[in-house]
Amino acid sequence: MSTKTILVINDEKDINTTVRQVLEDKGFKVDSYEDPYLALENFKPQYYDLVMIDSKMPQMNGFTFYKEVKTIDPNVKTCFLTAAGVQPSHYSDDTFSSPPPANRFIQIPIENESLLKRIEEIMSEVK
Amino acid sequence: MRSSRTNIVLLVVIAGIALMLSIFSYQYSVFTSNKIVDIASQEVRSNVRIEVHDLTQILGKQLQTVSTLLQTLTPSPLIQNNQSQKLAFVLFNSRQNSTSELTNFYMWLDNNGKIVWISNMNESTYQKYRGTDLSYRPYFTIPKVTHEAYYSSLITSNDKIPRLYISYPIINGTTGIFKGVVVAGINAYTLGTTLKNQLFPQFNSTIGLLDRNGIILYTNPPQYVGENVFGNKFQSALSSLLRPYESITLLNNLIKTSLQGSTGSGDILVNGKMSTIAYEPVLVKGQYFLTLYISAQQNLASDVSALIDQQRYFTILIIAIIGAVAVVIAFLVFSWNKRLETVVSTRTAELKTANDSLAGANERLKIHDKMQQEFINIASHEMKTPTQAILGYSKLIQRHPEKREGMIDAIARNAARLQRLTNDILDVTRIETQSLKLNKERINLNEIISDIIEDYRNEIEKSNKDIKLLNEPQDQIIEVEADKNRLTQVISNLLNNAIKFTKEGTIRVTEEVKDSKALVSIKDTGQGIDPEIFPRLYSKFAAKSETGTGLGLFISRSIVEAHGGKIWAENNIDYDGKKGATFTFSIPLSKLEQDKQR
Repeated sequence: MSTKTILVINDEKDINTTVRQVLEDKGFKVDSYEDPYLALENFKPQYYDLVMIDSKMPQMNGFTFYKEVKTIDPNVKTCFLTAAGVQPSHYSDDTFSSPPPANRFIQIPIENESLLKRIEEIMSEVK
Repeated sequence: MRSSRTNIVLLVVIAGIALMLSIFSYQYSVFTSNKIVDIASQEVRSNVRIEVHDLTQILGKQLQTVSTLLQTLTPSPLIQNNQSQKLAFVLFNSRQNSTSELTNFYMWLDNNGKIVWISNMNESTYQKYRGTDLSYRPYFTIPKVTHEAYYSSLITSNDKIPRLYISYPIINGTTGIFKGVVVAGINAYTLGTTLKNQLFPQFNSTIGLLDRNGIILYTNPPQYVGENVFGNKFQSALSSLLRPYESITLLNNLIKTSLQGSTGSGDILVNGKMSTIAYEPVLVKGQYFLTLYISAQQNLASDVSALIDQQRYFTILIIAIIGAVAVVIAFLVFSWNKRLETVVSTRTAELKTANDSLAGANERLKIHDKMQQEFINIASHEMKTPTQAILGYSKLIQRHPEKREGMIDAIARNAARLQRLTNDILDVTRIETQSLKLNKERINLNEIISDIIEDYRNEIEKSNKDIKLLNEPQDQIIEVEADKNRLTQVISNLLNNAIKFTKEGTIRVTEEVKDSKALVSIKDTGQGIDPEIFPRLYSKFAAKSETGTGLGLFISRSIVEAHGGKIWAENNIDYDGKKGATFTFSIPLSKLEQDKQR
C-alpha cells in the first residue's frame, strides 16, 4: 500500500498541528496550511488523496475553497472539519456543481481515534 | 367627495318629494273643500227652495180659503137680496174669525160701491163707515165689469194701511144683475209676519213678498212696503247697501224673471257672503197673485269652507314638519355616516400603525433571533476550537514526550482562550441582565496604563511583530473614580485589538484631561476599521478579526458607559504615512481631581 497524501487547511494553528500529528502518526503524508490562499497557490492536482477543509476561516469560507479546489481538480476527495453548527444543507445550493456529500462533515471536538476512523472510512469510499 | 355629492342629491330628492306631497295634498284639499262647499251650498239652495215652495203652498191654500169663503158668501139669499141685517153680518164675522190670521176684515159693498158691512164692526164704527163710497176702488170696479173674482195689487186703504184685496162680485143667479161685491182685506204686514213665523227658526233666512206688479208687500225693515221694487227709492237703497254692483244687476234680473210668474233660484254675493234667493209664485185658483222670496246666506258652507281651510293648512303644516324632520334625519344620518367614516378611517390608521409597529417588532424579533443563532454559532465555534486543540494535544502528549513542553503550552493557551471566552460570555450576560457591578475607587490612570503597556510590550516581543508601543510620560497625575479591573479590561481590549490589526508600526497610548474628563486614546497604524463593520462596531459579534469572539468592544462600551463615559472610534486620516484607527474613551475624573480642575 502506497503512502496516502492528505492536504489539511485550517486557520487554527493548534488544530492544524494536532491533526497533522495524528495523521502522520498513522503513516499519512500531510501538507498543512493556515492560509487558504497559500494552499490554493501551492495546490497540486491529482496529488492528494484527501483534502480536509476547515469550514469557517476568516480569510476564505471553507466552501469557497472547496469550489476552487474542485475547479482545479474535479476528482479530488474532500471532507470538512467543522466546529460551528454548520449544516451541509447550508451550502447545498445550486452554486455547487457537485455539492459536498453529507457524510463528509466531521464535527469537532472529536477524539483522535474517532477522527482517524472517519478519515479512513472516507478514504475507503469509491469516490 | 363623491359621497357628499350623493348626500346632497338625496337631500334634494327628499325635499322635492316633501314639496310634491305638499302640493298634491294642497290641491287635493282644495278639490275636496270646493266639493264640500259645493255640497253645502247645494244643501242651502235646496233648503231655500223647499222652504219657499212650502210657504207658497201654505199661503196659496190660505188665500184660496179666503177666496172660497168669499165665493160662498155670494149665493147667500141674505146677500143676494141685500138684506142688511144682523144675520147677514154674522156670516161675515164668522168668516173673519176663521181666517183672522190672514185677513183684517171681510167687507160687503152694495151695487154702488158703498159699504154695507165690515166684519166685526161695533155700533159706533158701523155708524161711521156705513155708506162710505169705495166705488172707485179696483176691487169694486173690476169685478163689477168682469163679473169675476178679483185679486188686487197693494192698495193703501183709507186707514193708511197697505192691503191686498180679494173681491167677488155678487151676481143674481137668475137675472145675472150685479148687486155689489164681497171683499177680503189682507194687511200686507200681517201677511209677511205670518209667513215669517212659519219659517224654520234655525234656518237663517229672510222673507220677501212682491205682488205681481213688483210692489213690495213685505220686507224687513218695512219702510219699503208699497214701493215698486224697480222704483228709485228701493233701487237707491239697494245700491247703497249691496256690494258688488254686479249683485244688484243679478238681483234685478232675478226679480224680473220671478215677476213673470215663474219658479226659480239664484246665488247672489251680498257684501262678501253668498246668498241663495229662491222664489215661487203664489197662485190662487190658478191666478198669479204674488211672488214669495226667501233668501238664506250660505253660512253653513262658509263655516265648512273655513274648517276645510284650517284642515288644509294643518295638512300642509304636517307635511312641512314631516319633510323638515326627514331632512333633519337624513342630515343626521349623513353626518353620523361621516363621523363613522372618520372614526373608521382613524381606527384603520391606528390599526395600520399597530400593524406596522407589530411588523417592526416582528422584524426586530427576527433580527434578534438571527443574532441569537449567530451568537450560538460563534460561541460554539469559539468553544469547540480550543476544546479540540486541548483534546488533541492531551492524547498526543503521551505519544510524543519530546514535544511535551510545547504541547503543554498549547494546552494552557487554549485553556486561557476558553477562560477568556467564558468571562466574555459572563460579562455579556451581566450587561444584558443589567447586573454589571462596578467596584469604584480612586485610581491613578497613568499608573494603570503604564502597567498594561509593560505587559503588552512583553506580549509583542513574543509575537515577533514589529510594533512599537508608545506612551509619553505625563507631568500631571490623572485620578479617576473607576473599577480598576474593568478599566484595565477596557484598555486591554482596545490594545489587543490594535495589536491584532496592526502588522507593523506604532501603537500610541495617550491620556489627557479635557472638559473635566479623562480621555484615553489608542492610536495604531494598522488596517483601520472596515467600513462594513463601522456602523455595528459596538454590537455583539461584530468581529472582523482572525481570532476573537466579537464581544470585546460590546463589553468595553458597556463598561465605559456604566462609568458615565463615552467611547468612540475613527479611522486616521494620515498617521506616519499609514492609515490605522484611533479608539478613544472618556471617563469622569475623581471628585478631588474635578475640584482641582475648577
